[in-house]
Amino acid sequence: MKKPPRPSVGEVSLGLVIGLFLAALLVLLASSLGLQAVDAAGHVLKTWDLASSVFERAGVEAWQSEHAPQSQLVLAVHLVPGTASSLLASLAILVAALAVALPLGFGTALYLGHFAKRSRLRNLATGMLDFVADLPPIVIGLVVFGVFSRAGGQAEATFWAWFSAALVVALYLVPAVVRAVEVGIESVPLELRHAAQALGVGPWPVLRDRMLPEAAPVIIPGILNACARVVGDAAIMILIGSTIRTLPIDIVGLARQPEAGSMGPAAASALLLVVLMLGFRVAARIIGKNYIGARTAKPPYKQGIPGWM
Amino acid sequence: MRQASRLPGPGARPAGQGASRSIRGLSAAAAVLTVLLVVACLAFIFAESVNEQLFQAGTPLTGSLWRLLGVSLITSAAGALAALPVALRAGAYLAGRPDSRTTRLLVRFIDTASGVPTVVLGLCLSILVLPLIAADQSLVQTPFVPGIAISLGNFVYLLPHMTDIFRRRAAEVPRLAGAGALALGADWRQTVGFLYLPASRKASTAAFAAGLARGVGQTMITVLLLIAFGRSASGSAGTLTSAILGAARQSLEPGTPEYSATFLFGLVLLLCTGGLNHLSRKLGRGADL
Repeated sequence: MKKPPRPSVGEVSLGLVIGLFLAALLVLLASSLGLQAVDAAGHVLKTWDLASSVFERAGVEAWQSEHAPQSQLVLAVHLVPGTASSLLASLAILVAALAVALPLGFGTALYLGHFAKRSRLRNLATGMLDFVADLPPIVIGLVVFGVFSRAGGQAEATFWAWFSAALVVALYLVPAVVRAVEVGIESVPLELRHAAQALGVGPWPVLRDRMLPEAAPVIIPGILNACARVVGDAAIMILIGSTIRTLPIDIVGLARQPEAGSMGPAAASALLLVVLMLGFRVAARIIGKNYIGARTAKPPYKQGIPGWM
Repeated sequence: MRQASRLPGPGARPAGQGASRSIRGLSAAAAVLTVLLVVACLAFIFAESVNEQLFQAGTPLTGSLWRLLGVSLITSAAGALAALPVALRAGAYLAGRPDSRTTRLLVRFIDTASGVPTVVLGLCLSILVLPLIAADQSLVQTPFVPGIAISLGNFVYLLPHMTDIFRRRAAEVPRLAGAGALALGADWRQTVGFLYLPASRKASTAAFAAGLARGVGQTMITVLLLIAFGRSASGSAGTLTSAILGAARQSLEPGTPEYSATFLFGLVLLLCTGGLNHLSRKLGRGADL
């Protein structure tokens, strides 16, 4: 009998990369699921993790018959009350930050990538933005922390808490938006721009009618991926001492008290964060591929020439 | 026909000149504002970190800077070094695979895995570490255990990211070269081993540098593991990022040595990650063919 082929080192390595990611998801799922004792009014009386729910079922039922015989045991995800508002707060900060970062980032990228002539100053500006784009978010957060420390720790007041949170996220997003737009514009064939200019069309109509719609499938996923990254960042929010509860802050807060059985809710919030991140990535893909692709008329060089090739 | 009639034609005054000028002005203003903002941020960090008390002999804060930098670099380097061979093989394998639906799905999977927030990975590791600590309390007191756990966290965090870098670089190897090797009788393993891997020599250094920068810059894996081990953020197993976060949680008075030291940690972190990322970008351009 012929032996099945042995997996190559590459296959094993790839399996390890994928396996670790799946294992992390499995750990989160196993920690966030478990039995809950729920009374008639729907209040959760006690929760158990998945291991206890499966392997110590007798103990769980003993607790129920002793302490709350009227309650029901249900298998559920251990979300703490207020998770929905944390999720909304994360998204609200992101929207506010995008309102600042998009005009700034788009303007900068359009100028550096389309309008500005090649010069040392332009190269310096591009290099500087590249340098900042890869910096850890905590460095950006440190600036806002310093500014608010100088201003007397106003981040604790509600308006300042929202303002500082949006500001720090916007500062972090601007280089990412610039990079996404620059890469998008670079992805459009230069011949298209030259042909339009040769036909007497000005820079702005070329950009508006051809280059931006063509580049949109690259720009929008780039921005959405940056959003996915920033929405999961806890460090900058903790650093500025924001009083706003976002999902990552919730996770860290719950992880600080593991003996109180808060790892289950923390894992549930983390799972929600992963789902949110995946949502951004899927949206990026759908918008990039289908929506914009369907709305934009294909230029002749993409339609192909009949009878050729 | 309608479109053709809108074109001014060669020699005519370009269409949309007024709008172009306005947009150009607005975008120039945005570019100037962004660059000024970036310069102001960098200058602010530098200015806040200057404090003559920090550089006096025997100041404990400057002493802790070297320790924190050392722990940051060692734990990141350990994670990146462990991830390097695995990422190299996985990236080369993905680049060598024929373009199919499965390949595209795998690439997307790796891309998604590289974007998992550090707070999620940190929590996963904490969940795994806590029962071990509960079973053996001596783990908390053992000197190198938190550092090993942080290195392991960096390994898990950096692996998909470095795989993605290798895949991109190895994908720049002309596909016909791979097809030629296969046509001449080489199997997949030989094609990857003798074509894709040698073509990614510079990419390995680039991926290592990028991984190191990412590892040094990550915060939440370290912070959550330090919480699980009951260690202080700026203690013996603390890193630059955890120390910054730990210091910022206390209300620091501007101008005090502790405040300036926090900004000095930030400045060192900025220079370290910026330099490593620059090196990675320089080395990572194109395959070595």
